[in-house]
Parts: sequence; structure tokens; C-alpha cells
Amino acid sequence: MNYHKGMHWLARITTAATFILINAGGLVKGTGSSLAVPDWPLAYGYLFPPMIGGIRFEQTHRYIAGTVACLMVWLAIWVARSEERPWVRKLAWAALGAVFLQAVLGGLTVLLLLPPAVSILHATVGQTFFCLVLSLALVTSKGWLEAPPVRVPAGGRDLRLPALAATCVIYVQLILGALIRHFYAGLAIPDFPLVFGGVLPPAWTFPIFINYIHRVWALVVASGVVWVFYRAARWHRGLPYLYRPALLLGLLVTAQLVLGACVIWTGRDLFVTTAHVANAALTLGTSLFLTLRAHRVLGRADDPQK
Amino acid sequence: MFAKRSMLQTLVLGLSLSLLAGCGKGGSNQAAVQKTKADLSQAGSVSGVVKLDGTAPKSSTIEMSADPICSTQHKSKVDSGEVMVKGGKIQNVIVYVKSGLEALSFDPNTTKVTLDQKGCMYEPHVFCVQTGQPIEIVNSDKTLHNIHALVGDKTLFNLGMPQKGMKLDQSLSDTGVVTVKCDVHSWMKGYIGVFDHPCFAVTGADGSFTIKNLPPGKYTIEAWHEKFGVQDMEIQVGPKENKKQDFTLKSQG
Repeated sequence: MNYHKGMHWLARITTAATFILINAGGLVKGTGSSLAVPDWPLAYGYLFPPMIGGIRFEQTHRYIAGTVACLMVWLAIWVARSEERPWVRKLAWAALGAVFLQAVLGGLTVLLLLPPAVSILHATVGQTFFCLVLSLALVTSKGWLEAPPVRVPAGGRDLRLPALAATCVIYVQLILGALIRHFYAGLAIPDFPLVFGGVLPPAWTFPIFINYIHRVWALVVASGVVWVFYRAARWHRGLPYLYRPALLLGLLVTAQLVLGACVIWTGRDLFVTTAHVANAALTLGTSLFLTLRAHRVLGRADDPQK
Repeated sequence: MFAKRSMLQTLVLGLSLSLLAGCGKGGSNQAAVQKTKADLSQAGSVSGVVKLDGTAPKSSTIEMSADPICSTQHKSKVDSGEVMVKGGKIQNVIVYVKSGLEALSFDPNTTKVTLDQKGCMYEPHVFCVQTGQPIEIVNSDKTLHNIHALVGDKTLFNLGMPQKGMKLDQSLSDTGVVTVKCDVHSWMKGYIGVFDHPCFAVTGADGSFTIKNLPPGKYTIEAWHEKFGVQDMEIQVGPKENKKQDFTLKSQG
């Protein structure tokens, strides 16, 4: 397999642009600008409307989305023409499909006046696309292509299952976060770490329920990441290829817990809430990154043909 | 150009609506209530004043620098209009019959009410209509607005008005207090009380209100204010009686 430097760097740029796009989307929601541009795909009938008030946030989000879509088209074509591995080509087409689906969902959520199901799907597909393009960047990297197989030390424990489990629970937590955001449940439970001064809510409404589940699931995420970090630190400390992303994952999850608390304590301050959304994407991306790397090196030790 | 939906927009909407038909909102299952036409031959009225208990908080002033076209229309700082209290009397309180009229039907009101976006503020700030009553929304500014109507978190409509002089006709069928806002100019906020009867009023600058054409009966009257909350009163109106009923809302600050 050949290393295609230009293609890899395009994948990196697309990943970075997607991360910026996720933040821009968070700002749109956080500033209440989701319907500042009532039509789609044009804006008040124009390609370039005056960038005033809430239009700044929504239209900037659309411009970045358009840029990401163009980058993804370019990347998909490049991968299709240059990449030897069929599964990587399929990955690129899946990412391309996801970005177009995301564009349609973005349009629908505006035209249908923010139905929660569509808005939540838009948020979820956005994170999924981020995972797909991040994966593309990773599997086209020199580090991936040249990574030697690694055996788990004798008596040691494999990192692959904990990493995969952590990624899955983080993904679920992001969906719960989207539910909170689009059902306006961010302050349904107004205090933290207590719940209405106790451990359980005195009454269960849907916003209180999803807020509570998001908090409980944060403990599940934290447990998963502790499991990952423990195995990485215990059995792979001498392998930076795995240890460093595990360490970063631990730091990001810690930051995410603090940011989550700060969202409540600040009454959903815009900066804090946007940082919480951004860090969520970074956490998911890092966990996926580690999962793929673990499968790359540990999996190949099991099956040298890979 | 703006007012017409593009073909692409229509296609997307059509596809999405057919896809979402299965998981769309269900229709109302409310049983139809048999109503009799209101007999106004012995109608009375309710009038009074809405007062404030406590010190009126300072109404916030608005920073309009996000749009120079808005800021240049005002020589001095603009009051948000949230707290209009003079001599302890509150302006812009919606006073309406909350219960007691369920069994009666009233003629629809076809008088057009105008909601103007002027100086990047809504004029009037608070008004009331009957369900189905036509509302003409006007953009008198040289900047673009979107008129976004919500009940709670549910959007009723969201329409762009990019040009000065543009007019849109709307009517509201959901009863309750509808919030209108502009997502371009975040300070713009107004309220529309929507009722399926004509027994409502908005207090003037002197805090006074009069609800006319109220058939004799027992009613709950509610006074609603965007900042000072609500107060309910039970009253009995006799034939051709002009009932006096004042309200006192509490200052939150």
C-alpha cells in the first residue's frame, strides 16, 4: 500500500473543517439563530444575505458546511482514484453520503421549523460524519500504514474491547446530549451534582428524565474511559501509539465532566455550552481514534495477514 | 423572488413531508364541544385597573449595534418595553376570560390587525386577536427581519421579510399567548394573545382595561404580563352589568 501524502492531508483538513463546523452548529443553537434564515438553500432569497444579527451565525454555519461538502467531494474522488484498499474507498463513499444527508437534514430542520426528530438526527449525523472523515484521515496516514503489529504482553489484557465499548457509550452520550439540546432540557434539573437537592427528581417529566439519564450515562462514560486508561497504562505504557490517545481521552472526559457541571452552574452560558459541545466531538473522535489504532496493531498481531 | 418557494425547496418539502407523514404530529383527538351562539342582548362588561405591588424594576435598554440600520433609527437608547409602569399602573397587560365561555360560540372577527416592524421593534408590543382573525405583518424597516411565532418552544411559523414595505398575512389558530420574535435582531420580542372568543383587552398607559360584550355568567378572568406573571379572579357578571375588577401583580425584582 502506498502512502498518498496529499490525499491524507486533504482528509486531515476536512476533519479539522468538520470540527469547526460542529462548533459553528453549536453556536447557531446556542444563540437561538436556528431560524434566523427562514429559507433554504438560499437565504432570504439570496446567496449572500447581509450578515447581521442571528444571520451571522446561521449563514456562517451554512458557508462552512458548503466548504466541508466540497472538501469531501474532492476527497472522495481522490480516494476512489488513488486508494488501493477497497474498504477505504467504501469508507470515503459512506462519508460522502453522510455529508449530503447532513445537508438535507440541515435544510429540512429549517424548512420544517425545527422538529426535534430532524434536529436531533442532524446533530447525530454530524457527529457520525466527523467519525467517518476522522477515520479516513487515520487510515490514510503514514503511521497507520507503517504501524507494526503488537502483541499484548503475557498475562496482559487487550485494549480493543474497552476502547470499542468506550466509543459506543460516548456516542450514546452525544445522542442524549442532542436530545437535551433539542428538547430544551438543559436546565430541567437546575442544580449539580445534586438533583433538586437530592439524588432522584421529585417528579419525572420528559425533560427531567433525559437530563437525568444524561448525568447517569456520564458516569457510565467515565467508567468506560477509566477502564481504557487503566489497560493502556498497565499494559501499553511503553507504546505511545496507544498510550498517548488513551491519556488524551482521560483528560478530555475529565474536562467534559467539568464543562457539563459548568453548563448548569452558569445557567447555560453560551461559551461554556459551546465548549461542552466541542469537547464532546473531541472526546468521541479521540476514543474512535484509539479504538481504530488498537484494532490496527493488536488485531494484526492476531492475524498477520491483515 | 423571495416570496415564491423555489422548485428545489418545494421538492425537498414534498419529499420530507411524505417521509415524515408516519412520524409526524398526530391530529387533535379533542372531542368536539357542542357550542351555542352567544346571546349578547344582555351582555355586560368588566373593567378595572392592573396595578403593581412593589417597586417596578428598571426596563432594560437595547443595544442595537448588531445592525447599523436599526441603531441609526434611534437618537437615544431604546427601552425594551418589557416594563411599562406609571404611577403603579401597568401597561401591556393582557386581561381575558380564561374560563366560563367554553359552551358559547362567537362570530369570527374579520378586522385586520397590523403588526409593524418599525425601528427594529414590534408595534404594538402586545395585542390580542381571535382565532382566525387576520394579522397583517409589515416590515417598515430598510433591513431584513424574520417573523418567528412560538407558543412555548413550538414554532407556529417563521417567515423572512427581507424588504421594506413587505407585507405578510397570517392568522393564528392556537389559543394562548404567542411570542413573536426576530432571530436576526435578538432584542425584538412581542406577544399576541389568541383566544376563541372576543372577551379580552390590553391595558393602556393608565393600566386600565375594559372587556365588553360579556354575556351574564360566572367567569375566571386572568391578567397576564410578560414580566410580572399572572393573576386570576373569579367574577359574576349580571345582565347589562359593568363589573369592576382590579388586579394586582407582584414585582419580581
